[in-house]
Amino acid sequence: MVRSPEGFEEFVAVASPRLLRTAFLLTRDAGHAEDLVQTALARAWRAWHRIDGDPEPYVRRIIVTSHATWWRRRWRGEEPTGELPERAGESPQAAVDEREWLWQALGRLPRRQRTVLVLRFYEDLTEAQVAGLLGCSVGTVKSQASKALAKLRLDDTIITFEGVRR
Amino acid sequence: MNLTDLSEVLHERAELADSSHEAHEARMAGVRARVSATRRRRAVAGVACVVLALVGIVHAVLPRPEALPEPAVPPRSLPEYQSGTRLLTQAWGDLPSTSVTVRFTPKSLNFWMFTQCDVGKDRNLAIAVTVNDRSFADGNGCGGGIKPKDWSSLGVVPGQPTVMTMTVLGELGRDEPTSSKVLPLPPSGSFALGVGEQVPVSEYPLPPRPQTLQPILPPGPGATIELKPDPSDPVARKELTVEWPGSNTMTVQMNAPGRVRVLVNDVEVVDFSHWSYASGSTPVWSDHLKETYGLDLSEGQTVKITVIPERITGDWMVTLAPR
Repeated sequence: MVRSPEGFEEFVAVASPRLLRTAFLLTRDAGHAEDLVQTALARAWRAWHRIDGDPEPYVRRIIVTSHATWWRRRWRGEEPTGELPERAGESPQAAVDEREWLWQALGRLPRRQRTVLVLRFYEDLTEAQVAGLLGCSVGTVKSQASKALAKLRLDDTIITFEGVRR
Repeated sequence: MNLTDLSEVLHERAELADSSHEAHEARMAGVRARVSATRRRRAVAGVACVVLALVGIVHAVLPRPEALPEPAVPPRSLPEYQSGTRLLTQAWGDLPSTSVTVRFTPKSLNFWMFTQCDVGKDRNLAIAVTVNDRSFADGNGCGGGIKPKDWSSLGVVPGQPTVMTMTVLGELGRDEPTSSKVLPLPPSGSFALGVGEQVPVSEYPLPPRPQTLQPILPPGPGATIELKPDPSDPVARKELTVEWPGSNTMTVQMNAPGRVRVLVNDVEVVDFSHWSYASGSTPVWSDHLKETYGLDLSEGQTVKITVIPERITGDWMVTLAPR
């Protein structure tokens, strides 16, 4: 059996649940999330002795970049769309339906926009941290988040009229 | 809906991706397999670079004879990994030649034979196979893989050379799929014989898991016994005492990689390993239980059926339906 670097297995035991949750939000599939986490951990294994400090941000970065590049080539099932379908009519909906709608709508966002929302509103990273992780400018993060929120009908307008269902 | 809702939805959904201790072991096995595979690839790439460098040096140093360029031969190969094995050796032939032979030294008896015949869409060849000059197949259809119950009955001894020969006999009659009519060989086509040695599950590169698994087919009409996994523990052993339904077909189905063994009165009658995300099944006829395992069961007799699932990653089902 291949021996893991010192401290690696303990890190996997502690950090995997958190990494898996992030991967699940990105991939929306438990099997793909597990694949993504294992791929990221295998890459981290090879660089383990070069990682300075807490390895978790490093592995999380691999997860995000792998999801944005390599996985795009391997997956065929996901077809992001630029335009989301209109929501149901004016009648009030139960909160659970709203949340289900929101989850489904998140899945229809382009991959990069969904990644930005996950990092901003699940990982609670700042725009600068997200930009650093994705290797883009803060302006790009802002515009991607703004477009995503607009598609989810969570833009400034809806926040201003909070409580008014559209 | 506001940003708080968005954050709450993300946190709620993230909790669904739960991770248990068992998952940790499986995850570490997966990571190890990926690391090993990368090392293998790098080693092969390194050797290839050295060989290329040497070839380049030799090519530069030696005088060049005037020679015609050799015609390009398209690379062809059986899959490197299939049915839990890694390809050990293979041989290809082209019609009108009619046979190929592989010579190999198995480390154990855990290996599969694979055949492939490419003679056009919906066409196939009848083949005969000998192992160490003993007949293993005669008139069978070409394609797929097989591992007999015991290779040693064909003179195979681990650590000693084995010779396997495949001969193409003719084309299988298309209009009579159930008959054994063999037509003359077509004028062109290719055929291959390969041997794959079983590898540990941790070293077997499974394909990417699809977002949606193919459904398990519902049991056939009149199925009297149906065993499914416990959703909370899909690898839990299942045991059922039933009245034997008489002449029947037992079918084991899986839609993801995994292994399911079935015991009837503590005698193992099925050991089905599945290695893909396509739906797969294996049937066992009740007559076979008597012939192969000496299980002479009469209708109405109380029988214990045990199902032992292992490394299950999807759904499985065991059914008994009348023949």
